[in-house]
Amino acid sequence: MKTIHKAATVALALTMSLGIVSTSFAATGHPAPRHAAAPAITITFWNSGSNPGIIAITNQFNKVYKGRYNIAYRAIPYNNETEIVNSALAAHKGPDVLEESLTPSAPYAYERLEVPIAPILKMGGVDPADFPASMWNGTQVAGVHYVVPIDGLPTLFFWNKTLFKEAGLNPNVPPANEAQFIHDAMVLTNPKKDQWGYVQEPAWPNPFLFPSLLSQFGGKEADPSSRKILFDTQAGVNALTFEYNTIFKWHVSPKNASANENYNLFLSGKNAMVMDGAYQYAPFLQKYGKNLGVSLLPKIGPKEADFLGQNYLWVMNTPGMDAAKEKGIGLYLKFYYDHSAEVAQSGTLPTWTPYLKNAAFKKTYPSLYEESLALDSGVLNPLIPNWGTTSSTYLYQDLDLALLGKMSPAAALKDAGQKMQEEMATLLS
Amino acid sequence: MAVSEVRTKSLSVQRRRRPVMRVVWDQFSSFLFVVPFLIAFVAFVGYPIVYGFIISLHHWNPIAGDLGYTGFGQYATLFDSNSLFGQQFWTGLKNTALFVVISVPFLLAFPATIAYLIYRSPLKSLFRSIFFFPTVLSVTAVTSLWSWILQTQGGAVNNLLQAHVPWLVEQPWAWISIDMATLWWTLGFNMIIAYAGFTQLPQSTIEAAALDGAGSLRTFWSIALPQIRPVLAFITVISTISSFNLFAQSLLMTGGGPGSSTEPLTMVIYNQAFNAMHMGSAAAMSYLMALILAIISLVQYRITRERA
Repeated sequence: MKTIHKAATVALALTMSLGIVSTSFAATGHPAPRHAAAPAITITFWNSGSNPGIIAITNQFNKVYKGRYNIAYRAIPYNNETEIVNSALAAHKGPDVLEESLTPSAPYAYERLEVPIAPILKMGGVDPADFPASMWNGTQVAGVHYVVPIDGLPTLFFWNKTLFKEAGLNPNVPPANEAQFIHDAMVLTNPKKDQWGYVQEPAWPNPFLFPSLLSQFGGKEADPSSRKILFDTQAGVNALTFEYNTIFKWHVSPKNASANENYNLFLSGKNAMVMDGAYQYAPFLQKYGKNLGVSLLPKIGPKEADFLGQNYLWVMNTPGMDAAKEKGIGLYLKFYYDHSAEVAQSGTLPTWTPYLKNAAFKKTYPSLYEESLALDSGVLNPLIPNWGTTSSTYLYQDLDLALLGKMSPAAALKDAGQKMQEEMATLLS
Repeated sequence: MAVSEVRTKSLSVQRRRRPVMRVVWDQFSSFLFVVPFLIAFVAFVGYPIVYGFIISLHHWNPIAGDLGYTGFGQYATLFDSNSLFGQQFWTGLKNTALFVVISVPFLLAFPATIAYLIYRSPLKSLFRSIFFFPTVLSVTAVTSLWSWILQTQGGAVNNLLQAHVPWLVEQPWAWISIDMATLWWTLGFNMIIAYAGFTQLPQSTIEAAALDGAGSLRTFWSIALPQIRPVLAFITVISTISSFNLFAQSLLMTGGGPGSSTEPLTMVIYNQAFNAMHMGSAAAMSYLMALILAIISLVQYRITRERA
């Protein structure tokens, strides 16, 4: 009995060992042989976050091109996309097509892991001249285009019309310049009611607002070709000083605001104006309905400019990439842009000019039409590898310190500029 | 020849006659029981440890791969106070050490006290459940809750205090906030360990102390606590290790700010590896951190073992 028991236990141990080993081999080994008769070419498409418009278009494409092409769509978590994609690439299991914001595409381009997009667009019949210039120009790496814009998220100005009315301001006329903005913010600030005209919090909205203001004052974040940091110029100081003054000079914004306070206080009726990305439109509209005002940013600096949050798509140079697959991707892109109405229906700004100029678009989606006007003066982050993530470590940490009153705007930008310049030398080129 | 001598001889002959294969099988079969664990250990711990060390000796980018051998150059850079990597490493280490110092005493004192109160309470099950409940929550839920109630404008705590405390954006409040959230979240686990220690106290000792006129406080301080010293030592070591691994609370509550004042070493390593893609220097930082943590744990273990 004892022997049987021992043998059974040993057999169990062996089975578990073999299980682990075989699972490992299965995970790393060759894929199962494809059915010889399967004609459809599968194109794997990874989308950072989940976009209802893209899902709807992809499903339609798969129906129309059934038997020829199949887009295998997968949404990957938005905040961890870099880790997921890089791990997959290291294991040679990366996607054929990847959708993310702009700057994460740069390292792949520098490492020649992307396929130039122009020939693919040509195969599908997509004319790059139909993209908004602000989202197409300046997106080359070493003179080659690898990415195409999928949707845009401009920086917008939101205001609470009820608070405007209560303060004796015209609820349908938002401030158009710095003087009007300060005037309205002062009128709207009421310490007795814990009400603020505007909340300039450190942290999140600044990656949208600071580049907008910087550009309005005629500055740039950096030069992608020389990797020279440029945000620490006078334009940057002017932009940050405006933000700083809302707290410490004009007292229209509270001191020491913590993360999300501008959003939370706006929703609770304690903050009258917000400058943030278009992604805030849906929750604000849900709360205020017709009492929500939305427009482009006021002209704080001498020129109009608006930072564009964005999503781009690019094609990875995977081992299975060939002309047939590239053709399929080209057709998919054509199909995607031709169905831009689906993108608009999901509440996101399309990037296909023929659709944006369509009268039906303006009539059906007036708020998106308003957003589309930002494309005329839109600015993007410089196409430098990992600009978004490295700037959040160095630039925005120092901007936060300035907005907390720990550093002057000029000192904060100088310190951030030195650190970022040092970091530039270590990035892929 | 005595009977016992005959029996011993017969047994030794039997042993000698056992087939060699049988002996080998007996010895080897016991080894087989650990094989499943061993395979998993080598694949998921041993191999990454070795490969991580190799990476730390190279400029290594997750996309581009190996960009050249540097030897111990990246370790040397961490000791260069003029380099960005060196500054970040030591700032992160200083922040982490500060958190360990301000969190471990509370993670020891509060759970031990609460565990004793529960041990003496008639409603043990109820209070054990109540105090253990936050431990089952995810760190995302815990930090979201604390971030919300600690907002400067409109936060529940400031409303209650009728104050304007910048809990999440000013020092020392940012550290106090992270400490409070961590204590609330992890207190239950340490409390259960301390409670298990109290249940092992001999009842006769407690009764003898009561007969000698010791009050509850005196019994707790002079009788109960000294007797569970090994348990408290264990709690100190695991709390130190878990505090050294601070990550999510800083990331989600303060974003490492104000500035980088609550940015722990784990966050510095994470940013180096996955944001800046300097996997080589991130690996070097990790090995240095592991070495420091091992030394601290060893010292703690030696001290507490000797006292215990």
